[in-house]
Amino acid sequence: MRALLRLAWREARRTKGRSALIIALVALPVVLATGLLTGGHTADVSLREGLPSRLGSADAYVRATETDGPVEQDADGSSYSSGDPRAAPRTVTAREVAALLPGARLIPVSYGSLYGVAGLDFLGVLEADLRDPMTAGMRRLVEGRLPSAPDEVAVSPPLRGRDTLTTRVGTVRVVGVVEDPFHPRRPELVALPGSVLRTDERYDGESAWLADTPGPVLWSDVRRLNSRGLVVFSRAVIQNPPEPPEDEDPAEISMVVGIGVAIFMIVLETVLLAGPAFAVGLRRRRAELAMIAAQGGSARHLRAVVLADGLVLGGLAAVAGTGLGIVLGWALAWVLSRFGGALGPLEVPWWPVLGCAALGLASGVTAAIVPAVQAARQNTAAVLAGRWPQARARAGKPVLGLALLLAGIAATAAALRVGEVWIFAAMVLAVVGLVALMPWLVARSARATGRLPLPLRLAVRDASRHRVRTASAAAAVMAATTAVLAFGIGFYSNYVDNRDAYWPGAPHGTLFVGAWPRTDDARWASIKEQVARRLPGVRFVEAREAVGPGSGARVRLALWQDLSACPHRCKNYAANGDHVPIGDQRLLRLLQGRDDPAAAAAFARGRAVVFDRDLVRDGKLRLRVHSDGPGPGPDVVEVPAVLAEAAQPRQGGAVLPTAAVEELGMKTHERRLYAHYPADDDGLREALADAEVHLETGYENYVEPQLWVLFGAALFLVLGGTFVATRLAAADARPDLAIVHAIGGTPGLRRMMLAGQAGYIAGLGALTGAVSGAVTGVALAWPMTGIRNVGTFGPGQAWPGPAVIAVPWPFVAGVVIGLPLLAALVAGLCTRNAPPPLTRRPT
Amino acid sequence: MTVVRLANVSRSYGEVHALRNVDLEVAAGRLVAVMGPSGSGKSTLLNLAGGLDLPTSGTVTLEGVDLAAVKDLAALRRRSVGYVFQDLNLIPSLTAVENVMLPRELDGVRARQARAEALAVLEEVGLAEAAGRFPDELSGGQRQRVAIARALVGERRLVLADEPTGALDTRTGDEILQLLRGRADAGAAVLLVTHESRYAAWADRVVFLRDGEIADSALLEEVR
Amino acid sequence: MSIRYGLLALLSRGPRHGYQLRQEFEASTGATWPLNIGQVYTTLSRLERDGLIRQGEADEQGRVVYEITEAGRAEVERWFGTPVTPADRPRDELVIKLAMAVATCPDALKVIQAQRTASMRAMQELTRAKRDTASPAQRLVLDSMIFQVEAEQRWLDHCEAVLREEQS
Repeated sequence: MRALLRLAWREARRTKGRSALIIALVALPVVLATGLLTGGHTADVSLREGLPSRLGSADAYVRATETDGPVEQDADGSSYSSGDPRAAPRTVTAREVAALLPGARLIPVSYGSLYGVAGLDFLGVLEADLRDPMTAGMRRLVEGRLPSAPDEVAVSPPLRGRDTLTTRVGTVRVVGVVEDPFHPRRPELVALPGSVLRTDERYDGESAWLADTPGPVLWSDVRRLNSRGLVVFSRAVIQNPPEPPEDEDPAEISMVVGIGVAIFMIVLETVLLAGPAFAVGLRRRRAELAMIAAQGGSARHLRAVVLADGLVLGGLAAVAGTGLGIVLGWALAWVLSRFGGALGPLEVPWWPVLGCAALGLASGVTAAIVPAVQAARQNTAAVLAGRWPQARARAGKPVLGLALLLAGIAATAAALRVGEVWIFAAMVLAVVGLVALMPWLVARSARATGRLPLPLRLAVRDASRHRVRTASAAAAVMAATTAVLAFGIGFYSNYVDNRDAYWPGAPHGTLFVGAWPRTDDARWASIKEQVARRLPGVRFVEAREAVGPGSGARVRLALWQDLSACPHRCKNYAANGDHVPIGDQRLLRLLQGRDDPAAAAAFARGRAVVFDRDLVRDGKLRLRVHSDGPGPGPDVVEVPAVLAEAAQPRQGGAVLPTAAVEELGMKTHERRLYAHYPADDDGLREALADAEVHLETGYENYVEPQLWVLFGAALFLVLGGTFVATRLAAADARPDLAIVHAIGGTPGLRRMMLAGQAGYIAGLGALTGAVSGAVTGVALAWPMTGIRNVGTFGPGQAWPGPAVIAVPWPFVAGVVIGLPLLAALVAGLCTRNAPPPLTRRPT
Repeated sequence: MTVVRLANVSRSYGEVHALRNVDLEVAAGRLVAVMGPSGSGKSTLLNLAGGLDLPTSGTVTLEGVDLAAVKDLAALRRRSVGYVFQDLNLIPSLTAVENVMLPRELDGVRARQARAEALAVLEEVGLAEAAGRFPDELSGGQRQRVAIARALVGERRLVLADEPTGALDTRTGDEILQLLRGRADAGAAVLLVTHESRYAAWADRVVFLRDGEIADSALLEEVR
Repeated sequence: MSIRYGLLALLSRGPRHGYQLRQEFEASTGATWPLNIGQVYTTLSRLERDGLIRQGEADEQGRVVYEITEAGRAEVERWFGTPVTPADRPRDELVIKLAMAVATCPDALKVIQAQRTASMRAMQELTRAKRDTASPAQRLVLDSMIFQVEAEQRWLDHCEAVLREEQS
């Protein structure tokens, strides 16, 4: 065995180019997988790693829940359940907590977030006195000084450069810059406790503290605090969990299948891409192998020689790939942290990484299997005599291949209603079938070339003669095309389905300004004034919000859809469905875009005007009532309604007159503005820190980025695979091309022939891949669009219905037709023009 | 009428002089054989005569045209000069008839016509029934005959053969020479390189090369 | 015939007496052609009669020494310069001539080349005759002659190669 490895090692060094190619092909997936795993784990700050950021040097973080009844929490307090819903709401004081933790010193602390401050949708806030030694380590002072007064704050580096900030409590001065070592680029505001956050902006309820205790806060202490309605995050518990940390959910079987499918496809693609290189290497070594056989080497030895080749190259690839992957992964995490991600210490998840390395090694060996079997079967005598080797081997196993393909298609049909993952598993079956069919297809297609022009005829015949190399490359293209088309069609169907279901409640170009919850009248007036100042001359229509009769808390009225009434899937009315506009005739007119006397009359009579037939049943519109404050849960009410036409054909929703809301027993107050103003204004958003600003521009998701990513992956794989095969073809065809040159062929012929071969390989692969990809993609449309989880508008239910199948034709054409043409073009351009040298016997 | 003439031709590669001051003429209807030990420059002579190589000094004239002045030597090889080598003559992925039509196709002749011409020549060399077979289905002699057919297709005036009988037995070798002789008699000029005197004897003139120079030549007197 | 010219060729290198001539002749032809002294003296007297050699002085032992005349030298040159035709010779003639050439003639390579060219011409004629014949039997006869000439040519090639190697 060692002799074989040494032989393989020498061979690898001798053919440096080919070896480098194979190593690169096999190592690439290893690098990517290892990089992502390492990067992911490094960027993921585990609880233990992140302790200083959360606790500083304190022993525990304690927060009160709404009640003082017992609570059950998990080890880190991130989830807890209140035991007794009937327990009375109560505020726990610091003194009570201190009593529970004898000898402890407590300082108040709070986490929360602000909306719309400093032009950011979301700004994290930490309220803590960073001057206190207990907070040492939580944040690092980078510039300036720490806040020491209620109107002073510090910011994190992304917000550097501002002198003041405006929050809802007022304006504060920025006196310093602090950094969270684990989240260096996350925007954050640090202030003294109680100075910036209002209760509804806090994450941790009414009160929370950091505690410094004489001894560690053990799990028994935590349970004690739990019984009084307090949740605890304790350093000691995190470092020594009471029970082993709960395993992640035992992997669901579909996740296992999904990962298995992905791994299989990646390994398959790698093997197919590296196959041609091994096949060519085998051809060069024929004489060497024949000599070994003549010296007494058995078939097993010959196979072992070629497999050793795969072992050496696969091993090198695995090692190099793993090393490179770890470095890249760390670099990736570091780069992401500059953009606001987290950054933990370098963490390499060894088991998965070693798994990837092992797969790389396996790929290398697998790619060498077919050539190894061929090596054992070669006709020793013929090779030693220098006779032309028989190129008439059996053309693969077409029967088996066809059977697998049909089985795969059948399985796909069966998997339609089961789930995406199973459809992919069926796709794998079909792909393997096509791989087995490929040699037969290659052999067959050579017969049909009689009438082609010379360079193409030569290209296809030559490709067909070197069957292993060609079939392998074409299969690689096929597998890539299948996957890309399947995803592409699936995503696009999903996108079209979502897009078509989007029925905005206001015409395109409507600008909407709404107050956040709990905005009082004075503030609302100030907001209106700011709006008027910033957008002079724009006519706004005021709209109202419902408020609960007693509490004055905001009440949200949302459109309710009956699942059984929705024809295919229930429409998505977006913001205006969640919160139906309430107002007067002017609002009605704005939403209708015109005067509609009939609708206006009904509106005046207190009827809701509805723009969508599906929403009205028996002349009534149904609404769900959600209250922001305490009180009973969501309820469903009915309002008499009439149908009318909206401003645009693709507009839905409804509008309620104030009278109808009052009829339901609620009051209203003015908190919203609508206008037709189709220009987006970021300045307005920033200026109105207190309000939500939204411009209706239609369905806002894009599918293009996903399709481009898929196309890029296809481009890479298809061009890469054909490039490999074409380079090998160029080397193999040298003697033939020398003959052509001798009898008067032009150098251009060489280009055309190689371009033709590239196009043939890519074309054959793309066409076969199009078949399996289309089948899979269409099948994917079912689980992606047919099964709906209509949670928001009604009780969450799966709604199996007809699927939307949308095919992105330009994308498909680009992949199936464009890429092979591009491959041919690139191959033609990349061949050097020098005619092959005449290598005749020297006389 | 002279088809190819080498006038005071020399070819050297750096320090090595492959040919020195060679004068050679091959007229139409004549078969000229070149003999010599290995290293004497036989193949170089052949390459120069066919335009596959250009001399360092001296001129090579083909049908009156100085090869040094020709821009498209490849066209020359397609139309005027036919080549037969000892081995590796045929392209394995093409059938016999496709190999024979190759120079015509390269010249732009339509496939149908080229195929007809090729079949005619294959008929001449007696291989019409093997037209659709691939080279690895043919014997060595048959392959050489196909190669000769390819060198003949399209009424070429000059046929250059470099050890065409190298790998063949006597009987087959004689057949090959018979073909070449027949072609010469029909009006082509044939320049043959061989190391077997028996085959050289088919020629009208045998030229002996020694160290890149012509040492002697044996001329068969005209009897006609 | 060939003994006559062989002796003449030997004498062209210097005067010899009979026994010497016989020894040298045998040495030159590699003991495959034993001469008896009587043949030698008969040939020598014929040569003298033709004026190609003359008797010189006796040496100290009283043996007669012969030396070559101008006419004799010319004759040797002519003999070397004239290739042997297949018609008028047994193969041996060629062998002797070549052996002599290698032993005595300064430009043996030229001799070899000339012989080869002549053989080739002969073979060409034979080949043409073969082409023109319809009868397979006649063709085979011609073939036998062709093969023999080919063998001769091969041997000539070999002589040339050996000679070159010795010279370098």
